[in-house]
Amino acid sequence: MTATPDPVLTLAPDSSSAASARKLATPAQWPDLHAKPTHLWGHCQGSGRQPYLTGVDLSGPDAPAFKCSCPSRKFPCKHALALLLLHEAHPQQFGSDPAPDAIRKWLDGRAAKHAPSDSSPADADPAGETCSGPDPAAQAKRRAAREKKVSLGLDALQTFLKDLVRDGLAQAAARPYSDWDTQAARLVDAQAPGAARLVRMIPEVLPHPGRLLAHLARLYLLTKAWPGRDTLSAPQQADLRAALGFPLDKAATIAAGGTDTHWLVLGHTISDEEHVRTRRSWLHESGTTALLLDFAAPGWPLPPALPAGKSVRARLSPAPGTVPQRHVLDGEATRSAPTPLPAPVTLDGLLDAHGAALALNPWLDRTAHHLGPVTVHPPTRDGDPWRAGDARGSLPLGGSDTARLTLLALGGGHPQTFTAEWDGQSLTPLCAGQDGTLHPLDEPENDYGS
Amino acid sequence: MGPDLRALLSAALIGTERAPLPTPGPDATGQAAARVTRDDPAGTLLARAALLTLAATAGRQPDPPAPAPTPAPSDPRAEAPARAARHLPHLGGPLLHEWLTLCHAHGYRVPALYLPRLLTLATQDRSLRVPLARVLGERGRWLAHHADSPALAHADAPDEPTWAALSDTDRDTLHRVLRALNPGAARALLRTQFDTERAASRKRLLSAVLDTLSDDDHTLEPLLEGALDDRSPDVQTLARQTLQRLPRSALNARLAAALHDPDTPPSPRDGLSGGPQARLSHVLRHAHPDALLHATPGGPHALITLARDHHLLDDLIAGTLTHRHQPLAQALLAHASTPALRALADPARTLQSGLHDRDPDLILAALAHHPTPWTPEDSHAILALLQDTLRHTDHPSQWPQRWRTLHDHTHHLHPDTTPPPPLPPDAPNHAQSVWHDLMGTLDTRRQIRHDFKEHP
Repeated sequence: MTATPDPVLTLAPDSSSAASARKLATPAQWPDLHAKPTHLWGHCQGSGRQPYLTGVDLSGPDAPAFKCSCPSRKFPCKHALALLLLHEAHPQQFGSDPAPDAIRKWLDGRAAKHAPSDSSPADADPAGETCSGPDPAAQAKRRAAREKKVSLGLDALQTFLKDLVRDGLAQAAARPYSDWDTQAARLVDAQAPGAARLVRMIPEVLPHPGRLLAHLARLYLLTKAWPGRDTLSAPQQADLRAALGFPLDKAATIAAGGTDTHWLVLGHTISDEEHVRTRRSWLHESGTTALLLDFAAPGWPLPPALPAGKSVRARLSPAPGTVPQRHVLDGEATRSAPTPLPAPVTLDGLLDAHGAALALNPWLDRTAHHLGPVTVHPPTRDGDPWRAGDARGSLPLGGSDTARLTLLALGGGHPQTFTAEWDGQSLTPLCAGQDGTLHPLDEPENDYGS
Repeated sequence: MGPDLRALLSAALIGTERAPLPTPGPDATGQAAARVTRDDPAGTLLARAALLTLAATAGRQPDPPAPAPTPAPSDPRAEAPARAARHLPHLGGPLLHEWLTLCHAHGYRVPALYLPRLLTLATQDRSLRVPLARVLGERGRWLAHHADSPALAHADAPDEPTWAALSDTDRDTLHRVLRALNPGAARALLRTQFDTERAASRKRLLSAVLDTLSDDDHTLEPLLEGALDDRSPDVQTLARQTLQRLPRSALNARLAAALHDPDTPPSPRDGLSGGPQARLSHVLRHAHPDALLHATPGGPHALITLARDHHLLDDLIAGTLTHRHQPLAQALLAHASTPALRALADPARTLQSGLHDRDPDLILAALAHHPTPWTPEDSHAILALLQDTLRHTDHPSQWPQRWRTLHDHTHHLHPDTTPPPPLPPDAPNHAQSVWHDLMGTLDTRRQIRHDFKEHP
């Protein structure tokens, strides 16, 4: 609901927590406020007689972490969020006293937990990403078993697709939804969640025959590429595996090396699917546009987002593939001094870059760009799309009403620059360029207040 | 979609069981597709479609240029400074209202970045529309046109087709905005459009006039006189109330004439009906006191005597309060010292009495006649009293309703008020919570004012 979203409030578990945190984020409510490089703490005069003791740990891979003596079951609570907001808005109000024992013990415990360990087990996130296990033989065995399952699943999918085309796509809309669900469930069982996701999307495109055929053709391409995977290069195989939903081995990706430098966060988009919420964060550095993916199970907040429009210092490692798009964050990202915006591209330039990427990886979903100068065109008739246009032509402009109107407000009908994600159909604006900086256009991450 | 892909789609829709595979065209992609064959027609169709759709996506050209929007006019006013604007994403309700008012007072407009959110909020909260309209600037009005907020897109009376395209609600909003920004244009608009409006819309338009009446609205008298004969009784009533509030209106002159002439015939149009006593009651209750005093040579004393002799003093008091007529209120005090009359007659002294006697009714009555924000001294005293009544409250219902009502008005506290000492640590949770919210809000308001002042 706000025009300039505060990244802190993206951590709020719900809209009321965000609103309460905003209200509490005034120094008058806090008799004590203290900040150290790794943590914040303070006393907040809440509804209890004794002030609540609130701490925020800014270190560790899961930072920020929160602790508060209030009885709230929400996590993080409004006091913890307010403490972070205060530190952003009123850093001069913070002293540097050492933390009380309760906070100290908690910080020490967290530090011990995050200390390097020789026997860190492989873990998985909601999207199935894994860290490397220690046993290569067992891994190879699991991999072979999985590939066999995938082969069986994709064979069945190919038969299903051919049946659809043999019977005629005009009949497809009459099929019960359970047909698509059943087919998707089989692919999940076959451990090809990427293909299952595409099957689940079929009902969305059923009313648009052209898009339906393109979608089915894309699925068919997957089913044909898989049996011939041995003829593909290693990066091409990686593209195929990613498209089929094979988990990325994050540890191996990180071990393969990365770039530790200053990245500009071009923005975020979020998509919700049945079992997972995905946030795509786009970063840029010296001609490389990196994509970071974060996942959350339903009902759980996404991890804190990198600050859209700002610069961060981070080590990013590219995942294997023909187009070095997806990256993995190694360690923590820290705010850094502003970095210059990448040179904007025209609409032609955007389409050329997207086409070049597609030529390498036919399963690539999206690319992100800094566009400009382009003019935002609101629709002149009901039902027309918004458009972004330059001298050569125009492209449909998607995204939220707020994002488009904010772009229009900033541009005033004149050419402007902005960052956007292009999915082959429409642009989703991310941040508006203004005076050499980027402004986020939308409510981020947690859709509190919406 | 190219011809080859279109042909494939046609075949796919019918089904390869009944439709033959189309022959690809002679161009490069067509020939590439021709080389793609599979074991069966369905597979071949899908493989060729994959090739052609990928080629189409990768080789996509921009769509034809869209009609360019008319650019926003340049803005003479500067955007509010970033330091003041940083509060905007966190504000709503009275605080946002105050921010917009300060922005106007300092001669700024809303920064473009925040316009969409504020326009959205204004669609949900009508009280924000006029204060927002004052600080939209040219960019904001231009954006309102594209943001489905047409009523906020004008600083002048719109042309006929634009007005005709607006909903009743938007017409009401636009009229109210014009009354604030350009009252002359609002009156001209009313004269042009009033007669052709539907009754519900006429009612809204007259309500806006009544809500924001000024002495300049005497020029609307012919229109209002005409509305006394309107088909809608509600419109008649509103027109009558408006004319009664204009001290020099002909209606008030007619009512004042009836005051001393019991033989004045009934005139339902003017609200005069029933017997002589009922008509006199109506005159005393509704006519503007200035008009009554003008027609009464003996001044307030004679008027009060007349009312008392007819046992109609309550009507005169009601009329005095309705028209907020301070001289008559002062004269009436000797005859009826009600809290409302005391507050109108001498708001400052009544407030002090209310604070001294800890009488929330008297305080509220007095504050109704105080300019806002209240003075820092009054604000401090009110805060101290609120704190004292709140001190032992452990539940909202334990705090008497009148004190809660006074608390609801605390957005009128002066931001530079020196707050009383904090509540004692043993005060109940509820009291602590209410008090800290109040202090937090005051602190935010102080900060906002400071941020505007820092950038004159």
